[in-house]
Amino acid sequence: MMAEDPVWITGVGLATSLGCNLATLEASLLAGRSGIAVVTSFCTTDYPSRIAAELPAVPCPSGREPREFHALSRLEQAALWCVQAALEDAGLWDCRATRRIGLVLGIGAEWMGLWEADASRGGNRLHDPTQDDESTLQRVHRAIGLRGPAVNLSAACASSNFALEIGRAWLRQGLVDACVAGGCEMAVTPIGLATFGNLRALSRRNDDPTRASRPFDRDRDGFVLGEGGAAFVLERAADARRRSAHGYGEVAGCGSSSDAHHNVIPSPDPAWAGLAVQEALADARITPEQVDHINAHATSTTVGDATEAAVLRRVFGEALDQIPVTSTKSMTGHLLTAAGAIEALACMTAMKHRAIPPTINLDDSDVSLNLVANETRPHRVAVAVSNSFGFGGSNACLVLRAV
Amino acid sequence: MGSVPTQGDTRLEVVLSAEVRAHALCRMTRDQISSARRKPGNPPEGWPAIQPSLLRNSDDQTIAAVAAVHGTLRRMGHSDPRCLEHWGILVSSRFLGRSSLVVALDRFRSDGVWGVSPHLIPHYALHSPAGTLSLALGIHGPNLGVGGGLSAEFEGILTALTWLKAGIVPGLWLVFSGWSPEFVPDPEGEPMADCECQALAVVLGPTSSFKLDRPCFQVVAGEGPESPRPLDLTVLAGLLDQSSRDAGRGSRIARDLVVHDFHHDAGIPRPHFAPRAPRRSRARAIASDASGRLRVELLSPKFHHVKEVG
Repeated sequence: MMAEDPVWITGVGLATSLGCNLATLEASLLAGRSGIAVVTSFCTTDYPSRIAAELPAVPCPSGREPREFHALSRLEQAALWCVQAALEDAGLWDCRATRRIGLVLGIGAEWMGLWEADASRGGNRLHDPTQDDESTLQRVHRAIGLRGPAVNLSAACASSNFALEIGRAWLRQGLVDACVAGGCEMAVTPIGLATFGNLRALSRRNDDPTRASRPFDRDRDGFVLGEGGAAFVLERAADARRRSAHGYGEVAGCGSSSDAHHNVIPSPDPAWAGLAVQEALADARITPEQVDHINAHATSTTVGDATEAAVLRRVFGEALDQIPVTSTKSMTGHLLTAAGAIEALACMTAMKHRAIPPTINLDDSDVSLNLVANETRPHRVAVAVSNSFGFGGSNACLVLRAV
Repeated sequence: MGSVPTQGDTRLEVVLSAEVRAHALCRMTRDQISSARRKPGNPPEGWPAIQPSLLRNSDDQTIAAVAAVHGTLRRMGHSDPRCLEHWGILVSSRFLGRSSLVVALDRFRSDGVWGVSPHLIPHYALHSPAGTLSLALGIHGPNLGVGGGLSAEFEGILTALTWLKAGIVPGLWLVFSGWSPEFVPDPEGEPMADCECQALAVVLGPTSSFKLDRPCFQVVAGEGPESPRPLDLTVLAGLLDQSSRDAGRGSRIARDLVVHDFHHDAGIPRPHFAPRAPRRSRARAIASDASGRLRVELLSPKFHHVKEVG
């Protein structure tokens, strides 16, 4: 396979506060529905932020024993559900044992989450490393019965875009026949909500949860944590066509960079995040004018959203005024390592329905962007850009093309 | 702790490879890490100084990783950061944040929500060491954390070689880090037994010629016994040391002479691998993946000088 041969997304699996199947998620996004509510899974009385887009009970995948499935960690449940659902959707479930199917997942704080959950049950795993013999990635790889390579990675909130890039590279390099790539995140825990809250990163609009995540709005006061994940089956387009598989979109371009500025605060210089976007456009062999839609990283923080607006202006110039921009984190919350995967789904939703999901709670924008405010906008989308910028100064941009 | 196994001639297909251009191992006790956290050492000539604020809240493995990278730069004699500005950074760490979470849980129980450190995610998650390294070195190429558990080394090398072959980066830093033996915290988050934090920094670039004049990591396809996990970083560093010395003496082995005799399972077709001529090598398997179908080898110019280990 040549380096420029296209790679398609032929299957999706997801678990979000807005639904655990694509049709439900699409309907919610296009309806401008928020998945954010007061946290109910533990007592949050003393927390600075008491809201999140929590994942309800993860459905048990077909063929699995519900009691055993729900005894798994919530992270593993979400990952297993997403990966199995994606393979079933792609029509590769029954042949997974005879094909080299790889697995690349963005999972960021896996061990701390597992140790915390274990400690809350009175366990001793944190003090007994012998219990940490197998990662969530490996457990899912084994439970699904995959035969290809597996990698767990994290670039914080940019993770999923890196996962898609590596999956695409494996296909082009001939390492795999198909690859499942995506991200999963379960950060809404007593310690997780506390550490992000104490970092002063989260919205404190506790009395109005559905209006708390408000990217690009002048009154934004931080992001809202989200839970869940999404996984995509990637295949070479020629292979997908040969078996008449449905193509959701092409992973047309990927770009990445580092700010090298601060561990948490984005660089005020838009050049470095802009470099990731420029690389992705170049990789997709398109000009800024050919982009139909941008799903912004925009998490609803004061500094981050303004910085991203500057990044977009730097890269797209005057063309930016014609490109509708949205941030679906206003509805989904911020799924951290899984954010890029969820936002790729939002881009595919826009392509399929020829309509761009809105940025809800956008009453008074303080940036100069062509924002899709509060209501879905009918718009043909053939090429979409999805930005993901993370802690550690990681920037990753994805270009998706309709097929 | 596992060790690097030896491997006889096997029939395997090389699917990815990269040259190891420099490396350095850093081994630190917790006391040494505390000292380096308070007062980072001088950087290599020409490289930016590390401000204490950068490492104040970092995980121990991050501090060892920075020291290993600085050690590598000194061995390389490299003094122009601009040359590496667009390189990538991959850090394959193991079990980050174990002691920090012990402390966080204790503070949570005693002081409630407000006792929990805000630094847990920025500094103790899988992405954190790579992000901090990009800051320390002023590198603007991609930075990524890989692995996190016992297979971190395999996952890191596979990702690194994938990046290089895909042309995502022109060269990269790959840093392995972990505790040996694994850190077992007491209720205060301090180690219950002696252990040292290890970080092995490796500079990787694309393989440049048919002549093997530098050690190479290569990913090969074919089933075989699973390698012990985790990889012993001191053993790997020793192999790289020996291999680099051999290369320095002008040792050359034409890669065309490399032969593998391993017979992989023919049950799964590999239509995308072009047929290759058998080659002869003294390659050593150093890590394998979860499926047992891919492995990483260290290919040396002259491995027969290396003392058998494991």
